[in-house]
Amino acid sequence: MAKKSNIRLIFASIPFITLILAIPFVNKLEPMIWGMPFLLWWLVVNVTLTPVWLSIVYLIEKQAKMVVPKTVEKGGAGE
Amino acid sequence: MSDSFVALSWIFGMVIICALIGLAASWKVKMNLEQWTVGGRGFGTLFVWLLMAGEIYTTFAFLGAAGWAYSRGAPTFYILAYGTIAYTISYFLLPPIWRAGKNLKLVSQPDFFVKRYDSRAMGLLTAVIGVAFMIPYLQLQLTGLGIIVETASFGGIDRAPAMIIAFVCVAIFVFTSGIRGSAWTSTIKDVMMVIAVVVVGFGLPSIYHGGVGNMFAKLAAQKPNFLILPGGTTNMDVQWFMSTVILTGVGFFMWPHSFASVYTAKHGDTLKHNAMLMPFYQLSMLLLMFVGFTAVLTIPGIKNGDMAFLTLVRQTYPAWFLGFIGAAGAITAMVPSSVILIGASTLLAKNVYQNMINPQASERTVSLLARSIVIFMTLAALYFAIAAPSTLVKLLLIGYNGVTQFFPAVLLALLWRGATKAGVISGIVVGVGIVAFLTFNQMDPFMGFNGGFVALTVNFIVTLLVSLFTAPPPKETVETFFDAIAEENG
Repeated sequence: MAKKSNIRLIFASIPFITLILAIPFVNKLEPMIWGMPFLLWWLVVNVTLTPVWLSIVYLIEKQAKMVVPKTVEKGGAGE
Repeated sequence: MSDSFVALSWIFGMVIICALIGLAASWKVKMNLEQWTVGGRGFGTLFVWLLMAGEIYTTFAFLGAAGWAYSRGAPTFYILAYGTIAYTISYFLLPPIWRAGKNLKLVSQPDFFVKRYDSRAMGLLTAVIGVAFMIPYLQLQLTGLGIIVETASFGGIDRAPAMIIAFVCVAIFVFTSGIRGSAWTSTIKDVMMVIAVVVVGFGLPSIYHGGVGNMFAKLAAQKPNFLILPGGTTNMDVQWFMSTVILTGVGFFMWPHSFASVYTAKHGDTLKHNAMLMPFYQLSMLLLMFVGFTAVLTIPGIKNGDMAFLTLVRQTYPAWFLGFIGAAGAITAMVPSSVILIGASTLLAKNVYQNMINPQASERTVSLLARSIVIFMTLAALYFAIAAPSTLVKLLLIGYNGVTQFFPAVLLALLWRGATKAGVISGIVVGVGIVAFLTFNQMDPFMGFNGGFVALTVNFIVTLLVSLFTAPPPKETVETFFDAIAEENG
């Protein structure tokens, strides 16, 4: 369970790395990709990828039964 | 029919329609205070998503983002990053808050602090600070609405009368329908916004420059430093960007109304689903930036950048389309305003008045008081918008600087049994004090960093240190709270 916890935190930390920590290194105009300045392109791509990372976190949680699916009714006390 | 008549008809027509929808939505459900504020806790994923989405697309996004792209260039890109960071944090932060709300019957943001820290002072402090920093946010909506009507009237209507009219409408539908009315009009607003922004965001670069790629190529050639940090500014470089993304990402759910909206989720999982989906929404901010950049090339020299978007639309498209966009923008200002007003009035009527001052007050008295406060706050924001105007973005960032100071108290509430009421109160007071100092002395950015971020850092340190030397709340209070947020109880 602890291992799964660590893996999901790794994925969850990717947006912080790409959107905050990486900024000093990607603050460039060239190369212009898809018609956009490089800095902007970098941000757009990494914003788009964030749902992917969070979905992976969600799947890890579901696998480890850390997430209660909506259809399951909570039983008595002490689950 | 003059152009201004056409454009304005769209705007005022839409405002009336939304007020009517708000009224219609309220007739179906008998309203008492809890119903009025958290909709009886019956919202499903879709509704919560709509409500939260409606809160993102404020006048700040609509006019301010294009305005900043026009006047500042690259620093505007922080807008793409901060929402994404906020939702990543929310994935982990919000479900326990929701569980606390459900299991401890919380209705407002101060309730959370009172229950966790066993401190009415903390409830009072956060209620007052929360409301205080909602006033610039409300003022932002009013200012934006004023710009919309002024531009749509082709100079025929002054800002002040237009704002008064629109806000009477807001007060009316807030009065009768509360959160459900806002959710319905939010749906309309989101549909209109998507249409408006897609058409204009792709259309304008296309019309003037033959496409987004060409537009960027021209801009890169003419002003190469505009599209990288610090863009058109001298003090918004890489460290400003990073610290601002952290500040606003962390502060995103610290707004009293955003915090309270978490309680309305049907299930903790709903919040995770939202966290996964919402980053996509951030991308549509890009289209607004395209408009701003197109405007830089096409109509340079506008003093108030916040007017660039509408000015360019006005000179490009027929009057009815300007009206359509203006109508979308009007709702964009009205819906968050009503959510803010409901949040603030409930805070003061219930948390401050009923809990602190007069616990014997009847539910009916409290409801009536809440509705009176709506009128009072609307008038106050209107006054400041006319008498002490400011740019849209500055207003929002001031608001963020303030409410984000709640973050240490929230985070530590969930993670550390040793967090004490003396600690969190000290942290908040110091944080807000620094924010006030930096703001009034024009010292934000401070040494290149976002001022609120600097205050937040000091706040955290103070909270931790003071907590280590003071007594935590009674063990039973703390354990009840941690039981309530435990995952098995979700």
